[in-house]
Amino acid sequence: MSHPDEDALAARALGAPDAAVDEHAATCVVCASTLDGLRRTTTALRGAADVEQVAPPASVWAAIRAEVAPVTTPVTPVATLAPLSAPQGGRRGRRRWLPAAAGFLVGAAAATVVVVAVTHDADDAPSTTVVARGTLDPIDGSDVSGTIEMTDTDDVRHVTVVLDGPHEPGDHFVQAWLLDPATNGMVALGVVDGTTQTFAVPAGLDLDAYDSVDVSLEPFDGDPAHSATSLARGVLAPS
Amino acid sequence: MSASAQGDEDDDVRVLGERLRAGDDAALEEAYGRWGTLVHTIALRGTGDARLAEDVTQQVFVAAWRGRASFDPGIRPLPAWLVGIARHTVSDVLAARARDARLAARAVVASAGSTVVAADPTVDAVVDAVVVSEGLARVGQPRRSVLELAFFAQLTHREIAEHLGMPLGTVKSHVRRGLLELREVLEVTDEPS
Repeated sequence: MSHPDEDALAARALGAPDAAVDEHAATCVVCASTLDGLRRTTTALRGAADVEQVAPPASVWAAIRAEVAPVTTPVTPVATLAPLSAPQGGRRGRRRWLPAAAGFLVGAAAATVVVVAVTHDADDAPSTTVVARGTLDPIDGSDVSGTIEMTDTDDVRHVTVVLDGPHEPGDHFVQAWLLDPATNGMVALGVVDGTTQTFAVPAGLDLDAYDSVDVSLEPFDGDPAHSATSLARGVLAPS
Repeated sequence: MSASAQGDEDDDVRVLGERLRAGDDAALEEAYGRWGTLVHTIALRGTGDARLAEDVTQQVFVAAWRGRASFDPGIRPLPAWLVGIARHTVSDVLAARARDARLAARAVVASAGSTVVAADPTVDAVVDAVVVSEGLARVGQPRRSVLELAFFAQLTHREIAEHLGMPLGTVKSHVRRGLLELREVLEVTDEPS
């Protein structure tokens, strides 16, 4: 017997005896599955007899909206906080933990949920300032130009390189470096993927000496040294 | 519902799903408006507790918002995804409650101010009943009445035919077609395999 039509399967699921359908379903996975699904539907329908759809009270939407709204003050459960006595490892951060009595309830409304919040004073909120800017000028007949910017976020420095267009012939990649023009010393920042890339600046680097950015074309030869093919350069002038 | 009206509604739902995924918070509010009651009813019948049902409903929509990047409108429609989240959330709540009950070594007592509704034994049965109930509300007439008489009032097809003044063959056709339609409503809420 070829597949029974849907109507016949539905009739069978409703309880009408049909030996031909039973015989077919015994060996046909698809029809057996359809039949199971239809039986499940009859069970669900019988269960639906006393279902009354109950709308949630308005307070539920208010709570959802409050919970997904962007939060400006970080609130952290105490279990994930670093011990109060530990320094802010490595970074020269200016965050201050609240002294001894660090735990406090956030608002009377949080009576059923206790959250220990450590907040930052307003002037300690992370902020980024641009400390130097420059333009990238083409070198040796290249057509690459762009802009460079150095930013400071809580004493951590980054350099952002923006090229006027992607310059990636397939067998080379583009790399950015901090350059000391006096010595031609180079410190690699990393690969420029596309037109814009931001790099962390190694802490402890003398930025008065390494005040320039070099953008080079590098072959995939596994040699980390500068290829000596510079595309563009610029000086980061304090702003 | 006619085929073209169903197609329009499907498009509607797909667009809403895409907007939610894209981070449009108005889409979250619309989704809550359309399916908040469905989710809440699942939570209420699943947990048997009005206050827990409110918490579950909140959790489901917050989770939907936070997890919106993982929602793929091409795999299943937004309401089916929401029902899936509701299913898991209710299961988790029931599991936690069972653990608490065992730890406390006493029967779970309804907390003050909560209304207790008889809780169904399995979450899947609850979800199926609520989802099919919502689906049934969208079935056109006279098919919806035929289905209600068949499954709620438990009338035979012959009795329905007499009651509605409808040929027996038409009644049978409505019941079968209704069953096939509602099977799809249920199966779309299953976890994609």
